[in-house]
Amino acid sequence: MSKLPMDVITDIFSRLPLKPLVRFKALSKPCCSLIDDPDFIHDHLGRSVKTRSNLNILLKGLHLYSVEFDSLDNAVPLDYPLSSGAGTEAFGSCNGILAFRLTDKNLALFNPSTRQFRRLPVSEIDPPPGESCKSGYIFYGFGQDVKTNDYKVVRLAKFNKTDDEEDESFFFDYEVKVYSLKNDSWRKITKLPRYLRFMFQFFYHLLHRRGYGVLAGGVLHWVMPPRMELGMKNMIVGFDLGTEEFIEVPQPDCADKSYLLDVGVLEGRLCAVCNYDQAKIDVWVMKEYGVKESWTPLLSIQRTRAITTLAFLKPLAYSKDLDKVLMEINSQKFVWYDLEKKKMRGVKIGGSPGTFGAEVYIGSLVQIDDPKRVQIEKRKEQEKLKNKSCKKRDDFLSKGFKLLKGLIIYTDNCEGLLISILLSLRISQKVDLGSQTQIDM
Amino acid sequence: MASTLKKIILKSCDGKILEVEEAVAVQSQMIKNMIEDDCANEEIPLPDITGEILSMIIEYCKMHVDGENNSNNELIARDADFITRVDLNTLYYLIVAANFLNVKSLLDLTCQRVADIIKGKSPEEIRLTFNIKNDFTPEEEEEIRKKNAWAFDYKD
Repeated sequence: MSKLPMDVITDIFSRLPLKPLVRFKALSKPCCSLIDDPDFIHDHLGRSVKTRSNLNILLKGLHLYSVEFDSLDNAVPLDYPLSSGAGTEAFGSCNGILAFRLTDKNLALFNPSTRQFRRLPVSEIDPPPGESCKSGYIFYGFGQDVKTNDYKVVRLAKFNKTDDEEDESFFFDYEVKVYSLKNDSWRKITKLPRYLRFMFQFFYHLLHRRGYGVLAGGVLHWVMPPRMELGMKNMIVGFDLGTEEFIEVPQPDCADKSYLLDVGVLEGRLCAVCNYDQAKIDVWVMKEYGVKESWTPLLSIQRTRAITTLAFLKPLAYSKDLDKVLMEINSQKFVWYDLEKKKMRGVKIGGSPGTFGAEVYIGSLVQIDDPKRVQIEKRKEQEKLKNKSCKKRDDFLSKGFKLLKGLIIYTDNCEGLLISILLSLRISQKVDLGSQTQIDM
Repeated sequence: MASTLKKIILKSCDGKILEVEEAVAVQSQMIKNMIEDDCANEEIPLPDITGEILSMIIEYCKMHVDGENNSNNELIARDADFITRVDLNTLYYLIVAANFLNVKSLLDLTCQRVADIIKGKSPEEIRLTFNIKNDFTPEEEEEIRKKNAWAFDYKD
């Protein structure tokens, strides 16, 4: 094989599952650097997506389990640092990386295929100034900003008024922060839409882990359930990971609007799950992101003898030949829905917890942090900053000298004036520098 | 009609000469390009491909041309039958030849076969089978193994 051209070896390796790939890093230095190469990692992921291979189902009970999608046979406990403690919530997955909430102050990213694990820096939840508040429910989401190839965690923290504990009124304040993996830091989002304060509804969001953002088209989605008393209908709230702004997402045009809405995702496309009184559920797919007319009905199911109430449904994945859809129903069952025969068939997975949330994740070599890259990037940033501030200082000094010269010529006693001019110059200098650094980041 | 079918003449490195119908020969992108550039009127020498391997490749290409109207599943079954008859050594030469001649579907088939064979093997076995030189120091190799110990539990 060593005599095979490199592109052939790359081709062979890109067809391997994750575990052998990690193992084959020990073959030789060239093999190791191929497997660690970002282009190879990108191509391997692309092939997995295209061929629907290396897919897994994450089962979220009290502990986390993983099931191979191809076999769907048994659930294996997920092995991650700190996995001994129960109660870790996986609130999102993207390109093979899972986002964990161990506690509200302890978030982490984990790639189960490479077992790379990274804790996120803690960012306090700051209550709005002047109000006596405590933080309440927290929405989370995780995804990728494709343009900058950055992974981001979004946190929406709701505040309750402390002096009015009983009053679960509508008027909540929110603090929204976004973590960027590239910058390894949190940023506060200040432009919040007014409707955000109506988003949280106790029963809706606490059941079936509905508080975790659904990723599609580079946007995280949450549902704002209807508030009939205010005349507000179901709404899909989106947060664009590229622009870091909230957007309203169009909904399917169905004749009967009296449904409870859920959002899901199938192969990267947003799904609307319309639940009619727990008796009937319609699933729609938005074929082209953001285009209202592209909402297409995918399937419709009714109560059966085996499933007497349809409390919750989450579409998970298409079968390899696209003729079936795997779904999670009532947080208890897996079913295959045959799109041609329009029939459901239950799937039993050994070792799965009694109630669970399910999520699809793809196996990938995507690195959470490449220490070398991080180091190089940091050094570059610092150098750039240093150069800029040097140049600025030179400019500043030459300006100062010119002024000084001028003042000395025209004024005899000008100390106060000079100092104030220099001070104001320095202040503007600082502001200037500040904005520069932000642009660089 | 038969007389109008153009034949392409291929010569293997061990001197074997094979006449191939153009429709079969153009499964190779390389030969197709040569025909388009009008360079395929004389015999085409293939310096790194033996007669045995060349015959196999022509057999494969013929199978695909003849089976054009067959269902996809039928072709997949035939491909599987073809590739499982090939031993590892031959597989290696098939890949080299398919890569040189640029027969995309055969390259896909052979690379997938190698991937299927090696995925359950240990690094030692693969180094031996494919003659890969281990250029790590014992310490470096140990570090990689230690860091990814879970991936070396591959009996599952």
